[in-house]
Amino acid sequence: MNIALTRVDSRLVHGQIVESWIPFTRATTIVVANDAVARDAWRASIMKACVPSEVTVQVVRVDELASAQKAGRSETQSAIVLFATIQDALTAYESGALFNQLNLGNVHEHPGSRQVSPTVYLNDDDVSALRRLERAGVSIEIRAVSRDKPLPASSFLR
Amino acid sequence: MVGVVVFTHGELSKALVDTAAFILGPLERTISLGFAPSESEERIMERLQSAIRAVDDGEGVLVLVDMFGGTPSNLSLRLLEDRKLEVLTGVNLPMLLKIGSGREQRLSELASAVREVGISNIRLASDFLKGR
Repeated sequence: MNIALTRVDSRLVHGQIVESWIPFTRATTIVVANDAVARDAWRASIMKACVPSEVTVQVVRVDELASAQKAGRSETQSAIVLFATIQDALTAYESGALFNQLNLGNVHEHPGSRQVSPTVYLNDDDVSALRRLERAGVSIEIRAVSRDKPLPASSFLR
Repeated sequence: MVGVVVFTHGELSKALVDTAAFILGPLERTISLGFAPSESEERIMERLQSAIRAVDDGEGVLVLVDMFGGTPSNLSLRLLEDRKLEVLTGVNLPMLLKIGSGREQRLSELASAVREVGISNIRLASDFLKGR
C-alpha cells in the first residue's frame, strides 16, 4: 500500500478530506484507524457512503493498522490513513505501522491542551508523542487543507 | 409541527434562515446551527442535540445540512437511529422557502417534498433558453 497522506483529524472522514485531500492526493483508499468506529458499523457505513464512488474506505482498529498495511492489495493503491488522535498515531507507529510523514489537520480542544494553530490543540502528552515520532524519523506538519501553507514541527514543538 | 434545524459549516445556515425570513417572515420552529473549524465534535454534537430538542414537539425534526459527507451531515446521521429524524443534504434557499410556506405534512412527506423543491430549483439558464 502506497501512503499518500497520514493525518490526525478528530473529525476523521469529513468535508476537508472529501473535497480537498482526496482530489489533491488522488487517493483511491481511505484507511480509518479508529477503535470506536471499528466497533460501530453504522458510523463506518456513513463514512463509506460519503466518499466518491471510486474511493474505498477501510476501517481498522488502531492496533490492526500495521497488518492491514502489509496486506494492502497493490502498490498502485494510494491511501490516506486517518487517526482521530495523536496518541492513536503513536500507538499504530509503535505497533509497526509505516509512515514517514504525519499531517495534523484537526486536533480539537481536549484536557490540558493549548492552541498552536487555528485547528490544532496540543497537551503535554501530545507534544511528547510527536517528539517520539519525530525522533523516529517522521516528519510532522500542521496543514488543514491541501492549499494551506504547511506549518513545520519546528514552529510548534519547542 | 415538524421542527427544522438548518445545520452547516460556518455562518451559512444563519444566512440561509435569515434570508428566508427576509422573504417570507420568520420561520416557525426553525433553528440555524453553525460551527467553527476549531470546535470539537463533542461540543458540536451537544449543540446539535439541544437544537433538535428545542424544535421537536413530538412530530419529529427535519435536519437540513449543506453537504453530504461533511461534519453536519456526519453528526446528524449518527442520530438517525434513536430519534424521529430525517436528514436532507444540499440545503438551498428554495428548500427553506418551501418549508416556510407550509408545513402541514408528516416528517417523511415533508422531507421528500422539500428534496424535490431543492432539486427542481437547480437550473442551467442556457438550457432554459434552448427550449424556447
